[in-house]
Formats: sequence, structure tokens, C-alpha cells
Amino acid sequence: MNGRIEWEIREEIGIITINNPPENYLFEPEFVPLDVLQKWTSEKTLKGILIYGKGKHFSAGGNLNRLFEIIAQEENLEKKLAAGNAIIDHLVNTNLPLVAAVHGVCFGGGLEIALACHIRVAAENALFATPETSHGLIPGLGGTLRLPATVGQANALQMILSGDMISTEEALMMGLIDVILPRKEVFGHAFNLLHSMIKNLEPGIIKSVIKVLKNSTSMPSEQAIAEETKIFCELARKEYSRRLSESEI
Amino acid sequence: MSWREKSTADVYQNQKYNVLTRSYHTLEWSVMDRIGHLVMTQPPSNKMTVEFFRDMNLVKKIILGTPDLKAIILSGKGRHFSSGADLDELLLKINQHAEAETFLQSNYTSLSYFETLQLPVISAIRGVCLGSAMELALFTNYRFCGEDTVFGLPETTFNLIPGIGGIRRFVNLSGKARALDYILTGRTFNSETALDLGIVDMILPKRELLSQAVDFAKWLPERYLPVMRRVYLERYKKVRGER
Repeated sequence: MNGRIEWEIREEIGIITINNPPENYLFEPEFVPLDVLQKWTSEKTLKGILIYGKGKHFSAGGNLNRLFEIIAQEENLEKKLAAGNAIIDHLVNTNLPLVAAVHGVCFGGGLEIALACHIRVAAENALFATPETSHGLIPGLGGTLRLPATVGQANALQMILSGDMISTEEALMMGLIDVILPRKEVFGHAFNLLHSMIKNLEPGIIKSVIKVLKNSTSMPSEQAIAEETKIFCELARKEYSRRLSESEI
Repeated sequence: MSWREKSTADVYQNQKYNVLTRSYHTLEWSVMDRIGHLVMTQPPSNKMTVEFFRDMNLVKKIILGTPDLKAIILSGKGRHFSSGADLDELLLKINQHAEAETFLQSNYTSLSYFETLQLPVISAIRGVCLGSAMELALFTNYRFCGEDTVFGLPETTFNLIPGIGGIRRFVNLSGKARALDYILTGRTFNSETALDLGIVDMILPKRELLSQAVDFAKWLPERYLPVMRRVYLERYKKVRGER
């Protein structure tokens, strides 16, 4: 099962590859076991994570047949969905910049993974959709929360209720993606963009920035400000002693 | 320099308004024709020192107590808006101060009230506007800038982060992708990019910056002010992530 999601570290960037061609279906809601992902991301020098799909597509999302199989076998679907959400939460809580390089189809669960990222770089041929409602379901991996937060309620409702496909131009207009590139340049551009952002920084600084950003939406503002101040002071103390020790030499 | 920058006094030349002025070491507050002018007065760089924040806290009380204000215009004396915090002093202060967190939070509140003021606050920005100075400008409602203004949040290149709300406000205005790029690389950007990013509302000729800001403040329709106050309150709630 691990073979369907691959991990590689290149120049301090962790690369998650969805490798289940041709459609890159997510085999389970928990598309990679949490303990495996935790082990991968525990690397101290890691400064960012890039997610992309091998082959022709990013990911067509969850496999409906597999979903009904889970129900037929009376496995606990709630638990499985919760596990899937835990995977996405874990990625978000690494406090690393997350970039999705999207090409081909990016549907359902695939789109929900991309939505958890800070930056979405898309190929000209990319297509986006949340087709769950046409199968009598709803997006189950945080899409109902992250899609309106990203594109606004009006666009999100249209996408979720109609299940219609969205082209890259429309996606760019509504803020679902940040840049459109020729298919061949997507991965390289996404990698270079992330690399240029993180190359000169300590992992601690990067994580502080992302954490402050995350707090601003997940915490009441007074608490977020107090937390921001605390993080700043910690960094300032560290920087002060670093300068002291440098001047002593 | 062939051109001469217009100062607040020039703009009001030959006009006999009742001018009320209060000077602090690093700031000057004056009210002319119901428009408040807050000027940072430590050129060339108008650094935001510990003293600056103390003065800001003092002038805050005066501003909150000034009745019948129509708008506030924030600017820097001389060529630049401000180059931001005095880093050496700040690092020293945080290390010596037992309650550095409290001290920093009071810095935050000495600026953040611009958002809750429910009055149009306009930043007139020229020259450099870096680090904490950009964060200061982001607390205001309008940002007008001169042609060759330099913006940026370079904190990460000093192993620090923007510490007075700049990350959240930059992201809210420009989106995660572009804001994170500028914050993590710490690189500066010019007026055109700032306009494109939604950081500034207007680019103006440098020498007209202040007078245009005054014109804009005067133009603000009187009877819509209560409505605008409500708009600011809503916008403020949105920035704070409240619904």
C-alpha cells in the first residue's frame, strides 16, 4: 500500500508523489499510514513539502468502488475518514510550506489534499472538481471547509453542489490556483519556487512564519497576537545570543 | 534634488486654520481643518525605536481624545516613510527585559488601534517602507505611495519574523502564495508590485503625495462617514478572523 504514495527528500524539500496511475486514485481515505508519514516528516532538516501526481494526473480522488467495499465489509468508515483527515492535519501541522504541483485531473480527495497546501501551481491541462454530490456524498476530507475559505462561498457552493469541472482559467480567477504553466514546467517551477523561498532560512524561522499564519485563522485574535509575540521573543533571544557569540570570536 | 518635497506646512500655506500641534521626540501630531496629521520626525530613516513606540502610545491617548476628527494622515518626515524597527536596540531590549512579551504587546496595541478607530486612516508612503514600518502601514485603511517606494518584510533574513501582525495582513491582502514568497525570501518590491499585490491603493507623484492625501481626506463625504465607520468595523472584524 505504501507503494502508492512515495516519499523522497531533495535539497531539504520533501516530495510526496501520488503513484497509483493512471488516475492516481487514493486507495483509502488514509492515503498513507499516519505513522509512516510521521516518520518521513520527522526529518529535522526538512524545510518544505511538495505534492504531485505521477503520470498523467494529480489525483482523481477517492475510489468509489473501494469506498463501497469498505461499507460492504462493515469496516468503520467514520474511523477511516477521521484517519484521512488526520493525515492532512499532520501535513498542515508540520508548519512547513506546502506546495501542490497539479496537472491533469484534480478531483475530490485529490483537490482536498491540494487545498491543504499554501500554494497551488497548475498545468494548463489541469481540471478541478468536487464530484461527491453527484454520487450522493459530500467532500469528506475537509473540502467543505477549505474550499469556501479559498474561493469564497459562492464559488465553493457552485462547485460542490453542481460537481462541475473547473478549468485552470476559472480556477485562477477564483483564487483556487496561484499560477498556470505549461504541463512540462509545472513540477520544476513548483520545486524552484519552494526552493527559492526556503534555501536561505533555518527550519525554525520557516516554521515560525507558517505557525503565525496558521494561528491567525485558528485562534481568537488576542490569543494569536500573544502567541506571535511569544514566538518573536524566542527568536529575538536566539538571534541576540548568536550575535553575542559571533562578536566574541 | 531639483524638486522640493512638500511638507504639511506647505500644503496648508496661506490658509488660516486653527492649527493644534503636539510635538514628541519622534512624532508630531497636528490637526488642521479636522484632518489629523501624524508625522514621524526622525529623518532620514524615521526608525521605529523604543522611544517611538512610547511616543505612539502617548499620541494614541491624544488621538482617541480628539473630538470631531474627519481623517488621519500618517507620513514620514523627509525622503522616507520609515525603515522599520531599530533591530539592535530591539534585540537588546528583549534580552534585558524580563517581560519582553508584555513590552512587545504594548508596541502592538500602540499601532493596532488605527484599525478600531472607525476613522479613515491614510498612510502617505514614500522612500522606504520596510519591516515594522510596512506592518504599521498595514494597520491603516488606505495606503498611497510615491513612484519609487520600496516595500518589504525583510525580518526572516535576520532570523526573525514580522512580529506585529504583518504576516496575517499581508496574506489577507495578497493571498498565501505571493505573501509567503515575499515574507520567506524577505526581498523588497516596488510601488507597481505593491499596487498589483493590493498593498497600496494608489501610486502618486512623490511631490503631490501629501497634498493628494489631504484632498482625498477632505473629499471623503461627510454624511457617509457613519456608514464608512461601519465598513471599517466589518473590515476590521474580517482581518481579525471574526465573523
